[in-house]
Amino acid sequence: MQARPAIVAGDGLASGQRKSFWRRLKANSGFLFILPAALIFTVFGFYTVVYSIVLSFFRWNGFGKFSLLPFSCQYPACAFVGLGNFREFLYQEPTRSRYFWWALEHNIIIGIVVTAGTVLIALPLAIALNRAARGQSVYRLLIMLPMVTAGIAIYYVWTFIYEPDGLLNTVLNSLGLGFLQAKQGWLGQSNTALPALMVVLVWSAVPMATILYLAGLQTIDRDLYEAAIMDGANPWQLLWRITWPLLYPVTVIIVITSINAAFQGYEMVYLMTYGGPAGHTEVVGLQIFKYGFGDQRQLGMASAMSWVLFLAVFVVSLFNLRIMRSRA
Amino acid sequence: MWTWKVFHVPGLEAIAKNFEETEGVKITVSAFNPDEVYRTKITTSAQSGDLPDVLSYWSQGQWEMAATDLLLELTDQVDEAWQNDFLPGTFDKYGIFSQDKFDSCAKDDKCTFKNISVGQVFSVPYLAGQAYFVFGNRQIISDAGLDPNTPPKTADEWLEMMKTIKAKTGVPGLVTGVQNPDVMHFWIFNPLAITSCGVETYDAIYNGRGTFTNPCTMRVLDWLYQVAKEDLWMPGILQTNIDPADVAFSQGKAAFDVGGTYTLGFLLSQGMDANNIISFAVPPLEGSVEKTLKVSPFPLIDAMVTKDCKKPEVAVKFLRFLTSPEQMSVFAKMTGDLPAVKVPADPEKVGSTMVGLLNALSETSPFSESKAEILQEPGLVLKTGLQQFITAETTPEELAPKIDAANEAAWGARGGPKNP
Amino acid sequence: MYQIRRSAASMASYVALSAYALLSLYPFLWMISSALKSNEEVLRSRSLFPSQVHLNIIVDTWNQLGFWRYFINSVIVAVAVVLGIILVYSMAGYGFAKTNFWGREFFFMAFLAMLLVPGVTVLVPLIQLLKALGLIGSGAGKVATYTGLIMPIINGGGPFAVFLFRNYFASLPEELHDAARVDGCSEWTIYWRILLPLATPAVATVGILNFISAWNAFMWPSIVLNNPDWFTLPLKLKDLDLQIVIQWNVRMAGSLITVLPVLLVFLVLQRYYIRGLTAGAIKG
Repeated sequence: MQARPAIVAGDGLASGQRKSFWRRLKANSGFLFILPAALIFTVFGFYTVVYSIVLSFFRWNGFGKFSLLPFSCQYPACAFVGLGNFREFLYQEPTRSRYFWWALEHNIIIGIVVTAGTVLIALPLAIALNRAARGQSVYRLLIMLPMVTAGIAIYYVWTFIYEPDGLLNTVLNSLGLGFLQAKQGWLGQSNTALPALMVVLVWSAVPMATILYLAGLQTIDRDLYEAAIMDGANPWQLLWRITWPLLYPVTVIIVITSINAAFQGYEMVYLMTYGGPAGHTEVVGLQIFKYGFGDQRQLGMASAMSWVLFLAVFVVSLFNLRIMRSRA
Repeated sequence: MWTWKVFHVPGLEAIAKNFEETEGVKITVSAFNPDEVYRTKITTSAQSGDLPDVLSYWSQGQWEMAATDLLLELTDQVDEAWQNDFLPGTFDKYGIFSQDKFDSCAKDDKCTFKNISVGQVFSVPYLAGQAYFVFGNRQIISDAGLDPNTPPKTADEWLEMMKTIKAKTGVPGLVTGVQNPDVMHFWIFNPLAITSCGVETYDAIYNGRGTFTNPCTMRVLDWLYQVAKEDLWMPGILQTNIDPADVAFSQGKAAFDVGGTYTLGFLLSQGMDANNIISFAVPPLEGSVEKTLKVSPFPLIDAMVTKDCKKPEVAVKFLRFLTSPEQMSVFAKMTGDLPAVKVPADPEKVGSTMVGLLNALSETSPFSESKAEILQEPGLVLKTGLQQFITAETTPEELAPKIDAANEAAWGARGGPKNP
Repeated sequence: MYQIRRSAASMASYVALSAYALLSLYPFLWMISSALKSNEEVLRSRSLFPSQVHLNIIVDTWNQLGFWRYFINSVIVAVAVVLGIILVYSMAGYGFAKTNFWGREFFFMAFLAMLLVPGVTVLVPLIQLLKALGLIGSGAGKVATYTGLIMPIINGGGPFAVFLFRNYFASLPEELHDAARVDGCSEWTIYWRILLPLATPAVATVGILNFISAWNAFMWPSIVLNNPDWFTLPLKLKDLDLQIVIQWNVRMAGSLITVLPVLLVFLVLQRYYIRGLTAGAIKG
């Protein structure tokens, strides 16, 4: 038996299909399996998505009525501005647009570095976990801990680690690497803040990626490895020729979620640096958050910005899926 | 009644209980925090018609809500007797819709409360506060051979003190929550600028009729630049937020801490000895228009009644009860936070820290006279720039024209500079 | 030779695992130690070991939280979310992987795109929608309100779950499916009786991920729930900030109490990860 790459189409449509109604219905009966999911989406997802898209063409402070069904937009709390929101943060308002593009740069750096870092750490970890005969469950639990203990507690601990007299500087000093210390704190210096933040992002993304890789590894048949070993393959070849291609679909979903989180996420930045020092960790997600939930109350602007980000991430994801398809 | 300050809940509940005893109506107090969650909850609840009867909200945020008919109008309810209970500079300045507010709204396309008329009232303040206080560590100041009993008269003297302290004791001069971009801007830049320039020029600069390259603001930028250049900030200052800054100060990691009415209580709760703390208002620069900075209270939180309230008379009665000096004394003593109402300066009733606070406040201040409107965009450039002094990425000469450019563009988008 | 290399590799595995486990563990240990310190010490000391153990913090926090009531609320929400997601999206995953219908690829891509839909701006329309459905507000009871709370979370967890289930089902050998068909099993029977029981690793993965996110959910429940009796644990946790100065030891104790049930669930679900379970079943 052979393990299949995970993305395989089912058997094709029976050839020479008669165009009878029942036949056609029967051929499409698989749709019934996705019907509950589609229904839930239609009720709880569709409206909100359309609403949010429409909202991006309006200026609205969140008070007063703005609704689609029936349509209402009450001046002066709400006003149609066409592409005004997009124009404003993309190029028109000098300050806002400068901060948007600056933040986007950081998003791109985070997207690349954090994604690569997550995959490079999670995959070996999952492989090690998968082959650990003893203590697997203990290690698994420990590695998953950051996922469970997320939130404000974590932010607090990392802030301590990054302080000028914190753990990281102390360790560096005791290793005789004092010259590497960040004297103003790792989150306090313009040259170290973004890297320090990305370390935390990788750290908090690794558990989930490891779980996914581990689940993926369980679907790979061991016989494949045995056969390859018989043929004289070395461990590196096993990894590169068997594990990596077979885990490709998992990698794709990790990459997509990681890039999505890098572009839309704001929580860690909000808790740890608030975009500082001097804007060096400013990200678009934080700007959206401030527009949407902050005291500026510009929900239309928040929508517009989020959909621009959606488009960007969507294109990158399509590109990723395309590569995956061609590999499968 | 809803609020977002969890630590206010016991104080508000105590008042609600007293209200129940006299009026027989039970008021439940719920808290939803942090700020962003609360704001969003108000937005969504307004959409679904599930707002509570009484709402706490950021002072001056009431206009947007009132404009969409969410709030009960209180114009005729807040009579003279009630008005007299509030600290000067709170209700009188920000609780009544002013001509000034009306004019700038009429001009601004984006203003969302064009339908509010001058003189209307929709809320009453119950919490006040003010920044602009400097706290000093008496011990460290004496250790440097300086006299802690004569606080600096000018910002220049203050800077010299910090240099001396750093040279003699090695302790850095200054700490405050610099990680929060608002702190350096609102707590240090603005008080120095308003005294340095005088209210009129200060207003003109922010309102788009003046320039930040004015020598009076350049001196302020220079002062902050010097603090950074002389390395007088506590190490790691850019990753230090407000609470950690106060903690660091209470541990003697810096000689001075900039804060506000709420800081002293915090320092004492950290175990700092009250006798080891000196405090004074941010001292003006030499050659300033105003020679001292008077600090007056500023409203922070307002209470309001929503339109959906089933028993508006009772709700209004509760607001009256809540903002009465007796009940606010209870609140002040329980929370240690400054009410927007005249409470007796009696340690028995409000606690000794509160008395000290009340005595430090004046009735008026340059800020209560100011009509400056600080727009988001120039604010952003200024805040980032002040932090860039610390990361050595910009200088006052570079920064000022940038703030001007941002200010000009921002006022341009709002129909031109604000009228004087 | 091969054996030596193999044991060296396994040594390296253990070293790497241990190193990373330590990195994961440190903040957690820190949480525990902070919950045992006085607040003053939490802020002052960076040592993992409390100078004096204050057990009363955890006990007091536990009592103040009124743990059981909110624990039960949290369990209801998290379990309903997990069951809903597993049921609805394992079906969808099966549909996408093993059956054929018109527009299959399109629908799959559409689902996947939902993964990327920005979360910030959908809150307001969701609330309007729930209100129109009578699922929130003063008129709605606990069951209705919880339905309103849970359904959007299920919908939100959908795209990811669909992707995982589809991948997993697709990786199961086609022979199984064909054999069952030959035996005259309906698609439903194949899904429910044969393939879903084989998908335990996928079920466990989806279950754990969604349990954790539903358990820790904060923003959305804060917005939907008005009645304090219906609060979940993370919401109730915020009520501990009763002083002007944040009591970090109380916060840490509260977080610890909230986290423990998740760890427990994780431990219970562990066994479904055990390797070979699926392979054995397929071969046997």
